Amino acid sequence: MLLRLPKMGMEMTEAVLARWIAPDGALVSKGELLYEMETDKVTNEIASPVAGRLRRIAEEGATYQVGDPVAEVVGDDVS
Amino acid sequence: MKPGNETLRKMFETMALVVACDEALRDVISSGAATMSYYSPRGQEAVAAGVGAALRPDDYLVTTYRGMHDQIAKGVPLRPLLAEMLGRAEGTGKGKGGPMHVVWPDAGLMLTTGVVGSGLPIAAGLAWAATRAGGEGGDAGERRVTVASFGDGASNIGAFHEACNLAALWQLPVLFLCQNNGYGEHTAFARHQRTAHVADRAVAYGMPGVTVDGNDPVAVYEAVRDAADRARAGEGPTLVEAVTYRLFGHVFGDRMTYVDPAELEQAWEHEPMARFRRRLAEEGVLGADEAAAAEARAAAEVAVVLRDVLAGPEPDDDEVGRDVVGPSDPAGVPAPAVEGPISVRAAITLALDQAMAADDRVVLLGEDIAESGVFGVTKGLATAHGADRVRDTPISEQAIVGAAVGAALGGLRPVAEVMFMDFLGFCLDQLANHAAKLRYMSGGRTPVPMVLRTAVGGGLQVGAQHSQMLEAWLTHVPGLKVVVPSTPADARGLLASCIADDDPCVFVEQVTLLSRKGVVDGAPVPLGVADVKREGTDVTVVTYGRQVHDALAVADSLAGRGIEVEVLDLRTLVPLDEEAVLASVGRTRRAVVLHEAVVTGGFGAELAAGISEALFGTLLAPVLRVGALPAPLPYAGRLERLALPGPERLLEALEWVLASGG
Repeated sequence: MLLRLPKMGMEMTEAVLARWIAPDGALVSKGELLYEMETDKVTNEIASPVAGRLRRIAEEGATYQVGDPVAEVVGDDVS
Repeated sequence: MKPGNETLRKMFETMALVVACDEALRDVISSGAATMSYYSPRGQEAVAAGVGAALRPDDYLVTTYRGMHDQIAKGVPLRPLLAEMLGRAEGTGKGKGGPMHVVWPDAGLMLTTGVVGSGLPIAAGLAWAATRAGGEGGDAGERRVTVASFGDGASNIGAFHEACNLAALWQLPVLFLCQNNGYGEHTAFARHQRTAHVADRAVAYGMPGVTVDGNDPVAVYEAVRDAADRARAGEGPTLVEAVTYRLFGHVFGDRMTYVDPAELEQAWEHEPMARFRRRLAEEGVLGADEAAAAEARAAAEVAVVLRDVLAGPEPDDDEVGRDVVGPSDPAGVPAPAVEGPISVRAAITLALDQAMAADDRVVLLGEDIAESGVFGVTKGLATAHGADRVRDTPISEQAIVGAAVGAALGGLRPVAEVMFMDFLGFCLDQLANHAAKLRYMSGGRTPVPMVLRTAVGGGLQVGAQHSQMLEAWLTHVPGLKVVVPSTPADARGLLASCIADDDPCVFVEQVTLLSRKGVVDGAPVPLGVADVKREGTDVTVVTYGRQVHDALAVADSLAGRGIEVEVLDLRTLVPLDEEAVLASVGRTRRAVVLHEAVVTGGFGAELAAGISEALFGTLLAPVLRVGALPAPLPYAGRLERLALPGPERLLEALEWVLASGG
């Protein structure tokens, strides 16, 4: 599943990917925290909506627009 | 009344469906597959399950932006519900309302509002309509109940107070259901009121108030059944407070930094889903395996629907302009001719009387209207049509207009009176956020056929708070129709058209006109049709209301000098008869726009701009605007006359325009 930068709040248009929490290539479970994003207003930790192997796309410290791809979690047959 | 095992299982299934939807939506948002503001009801699902199981399918529900659990429990099908939340064409409102504005009348869901507290007066109106369904009073046992669901935060807004008071006063079959989740936005209960329980406030309105454990669907079911039984029996409203908790904060992405972590941990320990699952297993109603299967079924159902909905089309571009208002009947409403001249006041009374005689659904509400109303307009109507159809209200403008909105949603054709236009500020939320928008936000499912009559005292020396023409506030809001009559015949015909119209119409009664007499021939006056009150060739005065008569007087005086002024009476500002305006000014090539309201930002600016845009090459002079000076209307007679646009200022403007160009 391709994960895009979510919109958190009415006025959000972009965010900085502040920090990766899960390692690249790790097997993550549903609900496991993947990364932290930072807007002018708030910092949020984003959890994986599915289980699978994480492939990072976005880079720490870079700014992304809502909807930009940030990661992929492949396969939901692992937990 | 205790729920049977089948009801218990049904409530569990409802809760499972809410939890599955909530989880799926949070996943969709965090994966970035959809962008929406999401107000999770997770933690409050037991309240909804109890309410849903206690109500009949035809009972009405009014809920709020945090209302997905209520909507599911009331029986709104998942597919149009989720499609609306995600802005898709097959949504309940064709994707035009969004998650805060889901309606589904087939399941009794008449309103979801994004404005805190606003649903309560509307619920009172729905309940009033329900008492009239099937004739006078209806059969009490068959009576529909209306549930107004709201949060603890809403118990501090005026609409709550006005609606509770009105519903108790009128003994309406309504149930005020406060889902006390501990927070109003980010402010904890103890920081937004000193009352221990919201239900304690019920005593102030003379209705019963009960507080129940909102995390126990059985407790909610029992309280709602009792309250609904009372309401159906004609014993009036109840305030039920269900104490619960919102587990994911105010809006998706809320980090809940304002919440004590120990409190949140405890809330999760008591969350309703696991608790009800345990209880049903202990009581042998639903085994652990059966419960797990039910939850898996719910998750699977949601997954399939959500996948389909996400793949579904977005609304067509044409939808932007569709459902704003319905068409106005071009035929209008004819009536028998009246013998001899009658006053504008009598013409308005006549229109109300004829509409009430022709259609049982027409009802009136407002302050002091049963006797006669402050200007005598409703005199005799309560005697002729019954006090139940001509209802006095408390001094509660939000409740008056909100109840009219609700009554309209419930199938009536209410005519509400707000004593003075200056008091519109009290009820603009009901008018501009609800009456005006419900047709559009529901994709045409819930039009609001209501009329708001309101008086303007300019010229009577009644001071700045009883004198203002505020039509520009209204014409600026898409969805409202705005009508300002100038003669008895127009007042009769236009008010009849407003009552017959399927959209909210504001009918403005200038008090200085009420005693003006004229012949009422009974000819229909459809909305959106201007009237040439005097033909002329040299310049057009575009005007409405009592200024029509000033314009006619000035036109008479200029005729003596060989100048022919055309006077165009708009009669309705929305819908505007643009064709008539452009046809007239296109011929005369000169225009003055005249109204009683302050010039700055007035409707005249809209008219002048429209004429200039369409007829720039034709005009021989700039379009001038004449209206009140930009000051609150002063009290002293001489000052009031100076502030208002009298014939002198119109004459001056006409002379300037006539001297220009050519």
